[in-house]
Amino acid sequence: MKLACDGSVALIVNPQAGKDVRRLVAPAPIVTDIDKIGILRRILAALDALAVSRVWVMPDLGGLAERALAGRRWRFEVRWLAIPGLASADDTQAATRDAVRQGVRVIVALGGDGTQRLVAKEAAGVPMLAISTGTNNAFPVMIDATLAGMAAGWVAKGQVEVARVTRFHPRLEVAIDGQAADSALVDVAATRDLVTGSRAIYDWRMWREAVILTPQIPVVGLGSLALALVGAMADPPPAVHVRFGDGGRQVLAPIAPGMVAAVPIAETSPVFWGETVALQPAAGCLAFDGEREQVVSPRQRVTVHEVAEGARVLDVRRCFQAASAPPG
Amino acid sequence: MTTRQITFREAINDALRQEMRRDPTVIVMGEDVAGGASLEHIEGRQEEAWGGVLGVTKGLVQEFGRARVLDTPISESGYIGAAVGAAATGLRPVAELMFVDFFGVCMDQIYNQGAKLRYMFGGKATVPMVVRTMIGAGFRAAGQHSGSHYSVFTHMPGLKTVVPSTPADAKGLLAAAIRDNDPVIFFEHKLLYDVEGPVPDGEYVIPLGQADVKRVGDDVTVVAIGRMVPLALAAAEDLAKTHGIGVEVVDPRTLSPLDAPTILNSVRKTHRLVVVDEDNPRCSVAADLVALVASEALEYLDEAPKMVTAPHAVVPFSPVLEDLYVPSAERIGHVIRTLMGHEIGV
Amino acid sequence: MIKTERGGRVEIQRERLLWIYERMKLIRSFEDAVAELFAAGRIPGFVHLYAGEEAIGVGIMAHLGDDDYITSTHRGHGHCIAKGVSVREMMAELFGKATGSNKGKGGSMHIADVGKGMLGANGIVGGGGPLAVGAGLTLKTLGKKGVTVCFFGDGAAEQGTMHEAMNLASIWKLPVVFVCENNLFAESTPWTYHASVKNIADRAAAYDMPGVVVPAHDVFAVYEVANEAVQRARRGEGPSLIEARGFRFYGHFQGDPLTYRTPEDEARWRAHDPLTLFRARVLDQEFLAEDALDEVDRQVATMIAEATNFAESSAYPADAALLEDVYVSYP
Repeated sequence: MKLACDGSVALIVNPQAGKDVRRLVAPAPIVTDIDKIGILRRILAALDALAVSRVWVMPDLGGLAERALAGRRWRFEVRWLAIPGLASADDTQAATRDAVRQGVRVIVALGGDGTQRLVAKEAAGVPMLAISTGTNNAFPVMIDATLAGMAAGWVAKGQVEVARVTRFHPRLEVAIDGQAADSALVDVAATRDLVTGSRAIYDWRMWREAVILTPQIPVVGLGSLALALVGAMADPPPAVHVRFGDGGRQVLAPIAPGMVAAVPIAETSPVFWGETVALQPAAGCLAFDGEREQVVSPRQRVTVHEVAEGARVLDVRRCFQAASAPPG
Repeated sequence: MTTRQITFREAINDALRQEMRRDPTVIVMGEDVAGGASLEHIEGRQEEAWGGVLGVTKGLVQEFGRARVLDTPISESGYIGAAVGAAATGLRPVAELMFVDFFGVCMDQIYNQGAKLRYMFGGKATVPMVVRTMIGAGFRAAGQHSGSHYSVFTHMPGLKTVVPSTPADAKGLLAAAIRDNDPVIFFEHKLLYDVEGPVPDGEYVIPLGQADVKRVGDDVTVVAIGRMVPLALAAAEDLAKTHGIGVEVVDPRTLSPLDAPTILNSVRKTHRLVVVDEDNPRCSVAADLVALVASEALEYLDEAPKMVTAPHAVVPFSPVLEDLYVPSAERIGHVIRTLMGHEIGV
Repeated sequence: MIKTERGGRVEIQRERLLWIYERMKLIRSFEDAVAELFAAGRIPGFVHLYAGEEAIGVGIMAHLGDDDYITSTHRGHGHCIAKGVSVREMMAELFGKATGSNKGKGGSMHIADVGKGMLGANGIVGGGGPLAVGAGLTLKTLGKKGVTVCFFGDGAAEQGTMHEAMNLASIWKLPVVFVCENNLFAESTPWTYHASVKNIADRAAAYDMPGVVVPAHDVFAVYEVANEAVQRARRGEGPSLIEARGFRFYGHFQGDPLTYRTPEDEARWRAHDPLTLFRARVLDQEFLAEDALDEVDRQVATMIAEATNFAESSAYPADAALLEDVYVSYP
C-alpha cells in the first residue's frame, strides 16, 4: 500500500480502557490513568529521541495525553486529532479516521481488545501498534512502551520497510441482513442478553454461540476457548464456530482476568479463510471482541465472514531487526 | 452502695465495661483503643495491648473482642464520622478523639453531621454517640496536645458536654453519656487519670445536667470545671484555715446541659462569684457563667464576679511558662482573698 | 433483576422496567417543577437539581430495599425519590412547611427519611462518606444483610473525608458501595482541572477495591454494574467504587449563570438524555408499549401537581418548632 510520506505518528489512547464491570465480577486489574500517562510518556520520549517530526495525538476528554505531554519541551510538533469529545467509542474511531486523513505512517493505540477493534476498523491499512492497557488483551501486545515508541519512530521516518516489519491480523466481518454491520479482531459472540447493559461480556451462561479466531499464544477471553478446542491440532483452523450449551464437553477457560469457568460447549466446527458462518436467528446481543455492542431480533440474519488480511500490525521484534540491519 | 478506691482512669474503664456488658450495641473505637492489631499474632502478648495511648481502654478488647473494640487508622474525620453514621443506624459508639486539640481535623463530622442531623431531619434521627477526648495542660505536651476547648463544643447546639472532676463522677457521667440519645462530648483531663477516689461498685449512673456542690460555704461561690475542682477545693481548705473564709465549690459537671439553678442558688446565698476554668477566657464557659449570673442574679452580688482562667494564649511548652499558664490553687486563693477584701489588687 | 430466565429463555420484567421509568420520570418532573417554582419565588433558599443524572440514582436504588442505607449529597432530590421518600413531603419540605419530610427544618439540602434508609442529603461536600462507613459498620456489627450506598460528586472526590472513608471501608471490609456521580464540574470547576486522575474510579486501586466507570445516561449499564457491586457487598466481599460519568442539565444551583460551559457542550450532553434513551430503547425492542409509558407520564404529572398543591396549602411550622429536636430532650 502506498502511504502518504508525512513522517508522522498518531497516538490514540482510550481513557476508559481497563475500567469496566469485570473489576467487580472478577479480580481484573484497574489500569489507572497514571499507568497510561506513563506509557504515553515513554512512547513520546522514544519518538523524541528518534527525532520524529510530528506526532498526532488524540485529545481524550480526560486529558491524559495533555498531561503526558506537559512539562517537557519536545522536538517534534504536536498536532491534535479531531474528535467529537463524547468520551465514547466514537472518539477513538473519529481520531483514527482523522489520523488516516492526515497521512500518518503508523498508529500507536493504547487499549484492550475493545479499543483496538475500533482503531482497526478505521485504520485503512495504516500499520497499527496496539499496546495493551485493557482488560482482555488477546490482540494488543505486552511490551514496554519505549520499544513501541522506537519501532513506531523508525516506521514514521521510513528507516524500516513497512512490508518487512508488518503482518496482517485476520478480521471477522459481521453482516446483518446482508449489510456490513461491524467487525472484530478476536471474536464475535451472540449472547442471550436483551440489553447491552454495561457492555463487557462476563456471564458465560448468557452466551449462545461465537466465532473465535484461533490465537497464536494463550490469551484471556473467548480466544482461550478456541485455543483449548483446536490448539492441540497439528494444523489448527484459523477460527472456530462454537455453540454453547449442554450435551458436549466442558472447557475450563480463563474468560476474564481471574475468572476461570467451566464453559459447556455443545458443538464446535472449524472455520476456514474466506468462509462465512450464519448465526442462529434469536433475540439477544452481538458482542464484538468482548463487548456487547448491538441488540438483534430473531427476524435479523447475522453472518460472520472471516478475512485473512484484516488489520496491518507492526511487529516490534522485526522492527528492531530491520533497524539494526544495513539498508538494502 | 459499696465503693472501691480506684483511679479516674479505672473508673472510666469501669463505665465502658459496665455499659458494654449491658448493651451489645455499645462499641468503642479510636486510635489504639484495642492496642495494636498485630498483637493478636504475637503469642501470649494479648494482655500487653495498649488500650489507648494512656491505657484507659486497656482490657476491653480481651473481654469484648475486636468487633466491638475497634482500632482505627489515624483518620479522625473518617472514624468520628463513622461513629455518627453508626449511631444514626442503631449502634451506640464511644469514639475516642485522642487529644481534644485534634478537633480541628474532624469538627465537620462532629458538628455539621453529628450535632445537626436530628434538627435538620425534623427529629427523625437520633445520634446516640459519645466522643471521649483528653484535655488539659501540665504534660509538657505543648500547643497541639494540651488544650481544653470544651467551650467550643458547649457553644454548639445539638452537642452535650461533660467534664468530670472525680473518679466517681467520671464513671457515673460516662455511663449516662453512653445511654443518652444525643451526641455527648466527654472531656477527660489527663492529669486526673492517676487521681484515686471512692467509686461505687456495680451499675452507677449520674444524670446529665446536675451540678454537684463539692464543698459547702457561705462567703463565696467558686464554680470550677474539671481539674480546677480539686484545685479550688485545696484553695478553699486553705482559706478556711488561714482566713476563715467559707468557700462553696460548685462543679457543674455537665456544661451542656447546664444546671443553672444550682449555680444561681449558690450565688444568691454567698453573694460572690469566682469562676475557675482552664480553658481560654474569651467566649468561654467562664464568661458564659459570669454572664448568666449577671443577667439572672445581679442584684444578689456584692462584688463584681471574677474569672480565673488560662490566658488568651496557646499552651506553651517550657515548663516554667506552662505552670504560669494553668490556674493554680494559689492564684485561686489570691483572687478569693481579694474578692473578700483581704487583699488589694490581683 | 430486569431479566429473568425461564426454561432457557431470557425475559424482560416489565414491572421492573416500568418502575425504573416511573422513578426516572418522577425525578425529572419533580426537578423541572422545582425549577419553575423556584423561579416564581415560591421556594425559598436555593436548590441543586438532579435532572440528567436520573439513571444513576434509579439504576442503583433498583437493587436496594428499606433495610439498605444511602448517604446523599447537596444534589439529593433524585436519591430521595429513587429511595422512595414521598414527593409530597419532599415538596412541602422545599416550601419550608410543617408537613415537609423534615418538618420544614432542613430544606432541599437535608431531606432525609431514616425509616426508608435515606440518611440525608448533605450540605457538606464529602460529608456523607464517613456516615456511610458508619452505617456499613452498623450492618456488619449487627450481622445484617444490608448494604450502604454512598453517593458523592466529583467535587467531593477531592475531600479528605472521602479518602478516609474509602480506606476505612476497605480495611474493615464493610458493605459499602461508593458511587461517584461525576457530572464533570465541581460547582464551576471542571474535573479535568480538580482531579489528579481523570477517572475517579482509578482511586479504588489505592484502597484495594474494584473501581468501575459506567456511563451515567444508560440506566441499563448502571443497573448491571450496580447489581454486581451490591451483590458483592451483600456477600461480604467488601466495598467497591463506581464512577458514573454524566451531566447535570441544570446548573450547580438554580440561578447559576452557567458561564463555565458552552451551549455546544450542553447540546452534546443533552443528546444523552437518560429518559429519551430509555424510551427509545424499550420501544425499539418492544419491551414496553408506548401507551404504558404515556400512562406513567400522566400519573407522574398528577403526582407532581398533587405534591405542589399539598406543599402550597400546608401550614408553616409553629414558633415552638424553633427549639424542638435540637436534642432528643432539650436541656
